Amino acid sequence: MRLTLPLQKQHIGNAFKRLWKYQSALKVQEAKVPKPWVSMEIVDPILKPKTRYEPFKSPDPRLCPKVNGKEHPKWNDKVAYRFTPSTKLIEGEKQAALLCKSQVFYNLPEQLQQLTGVAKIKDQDLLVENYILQACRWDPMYERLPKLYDRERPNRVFRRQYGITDRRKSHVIIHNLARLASTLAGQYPEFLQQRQHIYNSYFSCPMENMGDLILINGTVHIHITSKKCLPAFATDAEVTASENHHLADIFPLKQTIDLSKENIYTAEEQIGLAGRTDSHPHTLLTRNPHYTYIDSQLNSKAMMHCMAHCIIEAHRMYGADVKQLPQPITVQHIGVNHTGQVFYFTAFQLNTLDFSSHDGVKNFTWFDGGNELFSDITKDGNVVGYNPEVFKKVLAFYLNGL
Amino acid sequence: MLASTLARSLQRLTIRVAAATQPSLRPSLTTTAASSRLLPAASLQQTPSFVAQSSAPLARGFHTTTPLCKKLRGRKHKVHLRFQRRVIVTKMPASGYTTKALPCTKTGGRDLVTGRVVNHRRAGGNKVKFRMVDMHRIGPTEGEPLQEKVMSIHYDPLRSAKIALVAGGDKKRFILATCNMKAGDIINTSGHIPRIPVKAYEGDAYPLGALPVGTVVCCVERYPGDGGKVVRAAGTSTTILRRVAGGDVIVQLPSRREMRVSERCVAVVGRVSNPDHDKLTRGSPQASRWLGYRPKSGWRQKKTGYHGRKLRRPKPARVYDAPPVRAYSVHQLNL
Repeated sequence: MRLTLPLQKQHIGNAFKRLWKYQSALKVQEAKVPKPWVSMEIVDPILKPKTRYEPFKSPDPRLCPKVNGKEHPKWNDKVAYRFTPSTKLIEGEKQAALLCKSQVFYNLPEQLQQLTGVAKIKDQDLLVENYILQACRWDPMYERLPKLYDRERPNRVFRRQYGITDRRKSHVIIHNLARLASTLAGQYPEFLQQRQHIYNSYFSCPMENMGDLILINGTVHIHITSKKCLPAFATDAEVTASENHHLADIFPLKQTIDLSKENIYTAEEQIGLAGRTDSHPHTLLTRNPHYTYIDSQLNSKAMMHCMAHCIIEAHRMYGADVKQLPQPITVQHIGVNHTGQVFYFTAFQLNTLDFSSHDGVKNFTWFDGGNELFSDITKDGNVVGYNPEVFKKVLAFYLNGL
Repeated sequence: MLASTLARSLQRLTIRVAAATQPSLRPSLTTTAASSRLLPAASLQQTPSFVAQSSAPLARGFHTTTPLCKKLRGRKHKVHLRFQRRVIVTKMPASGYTTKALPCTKTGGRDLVTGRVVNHRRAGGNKVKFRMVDMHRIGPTEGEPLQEKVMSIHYDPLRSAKIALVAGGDKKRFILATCNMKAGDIINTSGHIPRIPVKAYEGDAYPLGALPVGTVVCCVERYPGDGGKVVRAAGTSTTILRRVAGGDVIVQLPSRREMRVSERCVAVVGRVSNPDHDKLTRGSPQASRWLGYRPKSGWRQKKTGYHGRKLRRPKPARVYDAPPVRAYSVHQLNL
């Protein structure tokens, strides 16, 4: 008999019967509820009363009269010095140390050094390398990149580049690393209740420094909060010993030289934790778009942001009129450079709120900058010079204060 | 007949008034009183004035290294080859002085008012940015001098010399850099004329009367408080020759011509930076196009100088005793 095509056809009825014998039974696994969630009360979103969203109607700007100068409702006679995220402190850490009245150490505090390498996630280095490739190679973004410029040959015209922007790269890396760090909740279930990630949280903080009003504002791209306060990094003996420390002088410059002067402002405190009274700032993750900044200037920006969060936290905990802190307040900061390659770790401890002079107890800042996560990516998609120590430090920061 | 001539003359007058009252096109020098020798005291203490400082609705200004536009002084207009580094800054900051590099467009060799081509050798070139360089080294007339720290030395595409970013107190500004100026130096600026001449270091700015005779200086003012106007090109310098009666000082310019100015005119001690500027070669004719020069037309035969130059008597010292008088008066017309 010749094997014709109709003879070679599969009998669908028999095949279905054979498969149905095994696959007709649906096995449903029992849902596992994590232990900390068992005690939490359940809110049914269907029964929750719904509030209708009504957008804010702003008046037509064409009909509003332009008010400038002293007639402006926000006009103040006292000049304020504004520190924005794009303010570049010309003297770097020295200048920031004067503004924050801070003693500077160039290593991580012992507490964080001991925590590095304690927590481990399964295949963490493989995952981080994948995140790097996701940001720099696999992302589908295809946009016009900035013009290439050769300083030695300014007339050379390069072909226009298209691909993933630096902003996108650093965004993907920082969000993935924060998410990977949050999976520590598998080992430490307390994280499910304790830690919270707030994205793009705006803050503003007025402070008096040597008689000048200084307004610090900015945005933290990922603000990790904790329900427990972070413990102090330095002991009381070290804090009292800081009275003998002398801050470096930057004569003939004034410390507010780079801050912009303003008369139209509102000096009010804002923080991303508006309604959350039981949350405290834990770690601030920011990406810096400034490619002209040197390490010292990125560190100084981190120091200013940490101090602003600490001052607001002090006022939230001990009242707006607090002068002497019962306990020091601490905040951690992780900054990333414009390409997402270099990480800057900062720890800040607020010991005093007295900024009227450079004498007395100082605040403390610990810097660990210039941590290169990877050096390059080859054309065939391999990460070159991956440094596993960087993510260990991120985990140590996340684990601190448990 | 009379009415028509009156109307025509009125029209001519209004055009002139319009040209004179446009704040961005009016040089700062001619706004002051014409006949007085010294500028008013208020102008000495004011913040650095730039050609295009005003925040008028028409926020346009221009930067030039040449004497101010002759057309605007009411004289007969002349094609001038030294109009090379003239650019139009399209957006001047409303807040006044800034150390930011500002984007600007080029004139293309055209007159700003009439729009006609006045210089045929200008076209194209690389994009350049304008930096506000403060030539007013005004210091306190009493007490301690103003101290500033040199933060960095920068390149400026609109001049041959280099510029320095200096910071002191609450202000940052660009000034003209001297030869050996480097980051970290502290420079003094004073307006005080003591009885004994001061011991000045390079980069310091003092009135000519305060410096000893024979000092090498640069960036010299013509009138007190007017800002450094002469000896600003790369590698140039001048020497204080002697003092004369009446509180005047004679300095010798790079052209060997002598200049007589008031002893209150401020000068910077030292030589202007970038002394090797004249040794650089462009390499190719195309390189001059990158700088914005068009080729010359016609054959130019250079003089050989074989028989030497004609020997002439040196010219007398040029006296700057009073600011130039405006060639026309401005009348406010009312209907």
